Amino acid sequence: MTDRMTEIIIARFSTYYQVNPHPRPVQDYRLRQHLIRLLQQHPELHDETVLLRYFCNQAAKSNSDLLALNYLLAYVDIACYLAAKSTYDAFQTPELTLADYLQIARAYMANRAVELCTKFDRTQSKIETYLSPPLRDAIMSEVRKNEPTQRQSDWGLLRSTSKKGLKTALQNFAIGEPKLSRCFLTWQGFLEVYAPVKAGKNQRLPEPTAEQWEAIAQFCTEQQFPQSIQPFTVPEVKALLQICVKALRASTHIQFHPLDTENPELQLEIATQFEQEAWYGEQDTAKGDRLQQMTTELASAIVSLSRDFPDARKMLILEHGFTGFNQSYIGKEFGIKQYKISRQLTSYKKYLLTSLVKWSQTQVNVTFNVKDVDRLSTLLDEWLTWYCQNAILYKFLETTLKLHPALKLEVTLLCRYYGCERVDERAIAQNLNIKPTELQRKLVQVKTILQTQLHNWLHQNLALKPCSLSAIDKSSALLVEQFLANAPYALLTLERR
Amino acid sequence: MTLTLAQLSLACPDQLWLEFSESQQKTAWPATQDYSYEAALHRAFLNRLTLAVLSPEFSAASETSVQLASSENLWEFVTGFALNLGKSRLVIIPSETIDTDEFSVPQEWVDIPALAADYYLAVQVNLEDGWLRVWGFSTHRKLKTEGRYDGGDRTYSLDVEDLFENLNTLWVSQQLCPAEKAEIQPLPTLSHNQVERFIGDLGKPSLYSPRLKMSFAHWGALLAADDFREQLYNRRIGKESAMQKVVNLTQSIYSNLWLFLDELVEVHGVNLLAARGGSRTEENEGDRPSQARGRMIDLGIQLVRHPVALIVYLSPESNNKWNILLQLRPSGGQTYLPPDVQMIVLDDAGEVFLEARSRQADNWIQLEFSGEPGERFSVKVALGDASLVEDFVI
Repeated sequence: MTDRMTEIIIARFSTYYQVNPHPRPVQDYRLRQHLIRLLQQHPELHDETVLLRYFCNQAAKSNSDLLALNYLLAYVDIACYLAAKSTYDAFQTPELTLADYLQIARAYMANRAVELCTKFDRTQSKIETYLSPPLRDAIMSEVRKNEPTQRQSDWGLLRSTSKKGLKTALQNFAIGEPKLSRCFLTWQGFLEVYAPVKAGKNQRLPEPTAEQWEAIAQFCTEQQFPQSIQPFTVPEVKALLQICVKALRASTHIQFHPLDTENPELQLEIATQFEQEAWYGEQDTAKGDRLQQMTTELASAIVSLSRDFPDARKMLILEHGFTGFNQSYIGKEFGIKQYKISRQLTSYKKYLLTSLVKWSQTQVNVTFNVKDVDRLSTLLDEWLTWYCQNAILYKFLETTLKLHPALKLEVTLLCRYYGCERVDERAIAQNLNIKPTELQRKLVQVKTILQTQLHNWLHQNLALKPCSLSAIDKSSALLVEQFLANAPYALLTLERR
Repeated sequence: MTLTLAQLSLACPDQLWLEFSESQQKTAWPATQDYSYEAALHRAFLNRLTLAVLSPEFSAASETSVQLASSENLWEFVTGFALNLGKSRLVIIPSETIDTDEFSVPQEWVDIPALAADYYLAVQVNLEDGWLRVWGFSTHRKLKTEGRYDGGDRTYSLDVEDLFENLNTLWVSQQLCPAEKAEIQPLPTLSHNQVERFIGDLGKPSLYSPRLKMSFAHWGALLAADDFREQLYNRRIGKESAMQKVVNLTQSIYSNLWLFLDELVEVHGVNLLAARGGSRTEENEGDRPSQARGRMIDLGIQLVRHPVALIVYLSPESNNKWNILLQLRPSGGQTYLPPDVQMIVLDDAGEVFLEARSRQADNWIQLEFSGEPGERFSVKVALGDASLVEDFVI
């Protein structure tokens, strides 16, 4: 294994996200140093999958092995951050910050990291894709718990929780057997008997009637095991349900401390550009090869789709090409509501997925199952992002960089600035015989031109309305920045010569 | 603040989110008398609403027609409904829980062959804010092989991360992939006596579903048969057919006096084999089932060594009529009835309608007639001065 690969693995297991003052990945110094020593002592762990299994086993074996758990939490932190970011962007709740969302995601993972990482299969998906549904749902549930609804009553709260949610809450509330089973059975009886018949919006649900209490007690008596135990009484089931309510209310208070506050003596260091880029670079190369193979088939599918649905290509580029330009904005561009955009995009993707599955089946000559189709569905999303960004938008920006008279002169500057591992503006400026301020001015100028040209292209080729061009400004700036960070400078320099 | 549907759907754009109106909610409420307890009524409402909102969407998305493929009387017992979608069968499980960390499916939808489906969809319903979403799905095989079975509430559960999230995967799979069903163990065949007993026990009113009151094998077999389920449902909601009413006869038929035929044979040594080559229920295999109950009659000193059994067989005839066959049989392992035992059918005015009297070496005596729902009759069994009368209503 190369040092570079080792660095990537170390970064994966020791990096987490800070959102203040601005979002950035940060490496935990202690985790990093300890992992370096561990890998030196155990060369067999120089593999991401093996290391992940090792930490899962360690954390599962001993609940007190916080170090192993912290490695797992660092490993899943990118998923926590991305889920927090996407839900925060969608909800825009004024009373909660991005840090709060991240806190919720981390609190959820603190309880489930071992279980989820144990089940995670790296060959099937990326960790952030795999964890996206449970994390988004956990955040959504948590945020919705603060809504002024029927759930604020004890009875609403009991009805709104899942079996798993109640079990976790009771365990966290230090309820052990046999009380836990009796609480659980009583809750089951409550769900069987209680019905919120036509309660008005935002009204608190009423307490069960005397008849219902009797029925809950009777249900518990019938279902308890062994049946020789004393029958349940109404006061008893009331008391047991109160324990459930208290446990559930207690579980809504998030108590999670980020790694840095847990270990105040730790030194933090910002993850190096090299490590981050190396990791993404690895991912990109492998992914690029895989996605390239699908391009011929899917690109022609998009062409035939666009014959029947002229807006399809434009909608797909806006959805997948620009991070942060969400379906609400796309809806405004097309003059329809977000949910209709969502349906249309879903139907376009269904068409593409069908083409992809049929094509893939002919390639391998095997009948697929649902899991295969689901994997291809994930791959299709990745391909759409890759295709819209790399094959269309980056390609346009690359051509602009090559041909625009004001830009082609700056290729050397860009190459020096973005092509090196560590940015030292003073050294670069000195090398180019300009002042650092001049370097900054030129960089801003390049970005502005590229973004302007991109907006012109969007206006001319996709007929994007002026209001959308204004709305897409932030996303297109990010796209230009990402392009400049990954542009093929070696090729551009060579062509210039 | 309350999150809007637009905000929520932006967070999970790959899931299907649908809005519904107050009027759709109102329309979805079933008639109160259609379910025997409030929780079942609410369950039926939730399922009907989900069905109404999802069906048009599924039809459009899958480009095939959608048909409800399960009975509404199931909601008296369990949540969920089935849809036929082209060649695939889907089971939809709506739930109002906010937490969607696990998807639980009642065992009935998984282990009853007639109810099991190819795909199982998890639907979260928010009645207050008027929306629902399909937040994941599973195949039968995945649910059965990877799901956690909980014997406490008889459910199979999968964690959210183990579900398929994207519905396009479902639409494409049902078109291009073979169905993924795990093997399902066959359920036992219930005897008519078992069916009657189970329906008698589970048909008693309660404020919760009787689904956990007996072993799953028996419960599943009972629920799987449309006829039996219909009978149980009707019994619970108090809307029994004429046949069930006649089985009820009087309150006393469900008292300890009235027994199933196998109990008469086992406990009281009633000789049924001597008659017609077998029991009445066996003769009727393949027809609509007849029902039979019997009670022992001891007329004191007159029959001290020879108590007899009065047996009532009921079976449907055409034109809203019911066939009623009454038999008097010996018990205690005896082959013959005592001589001169009378069995008399009286009409609702107390007049003799039919009559039979045992002779020397009679294996049994019987009377047979037809009646319409609502008609009353009585049966008098007498020997000498001693007699006993039972009243019935068809």
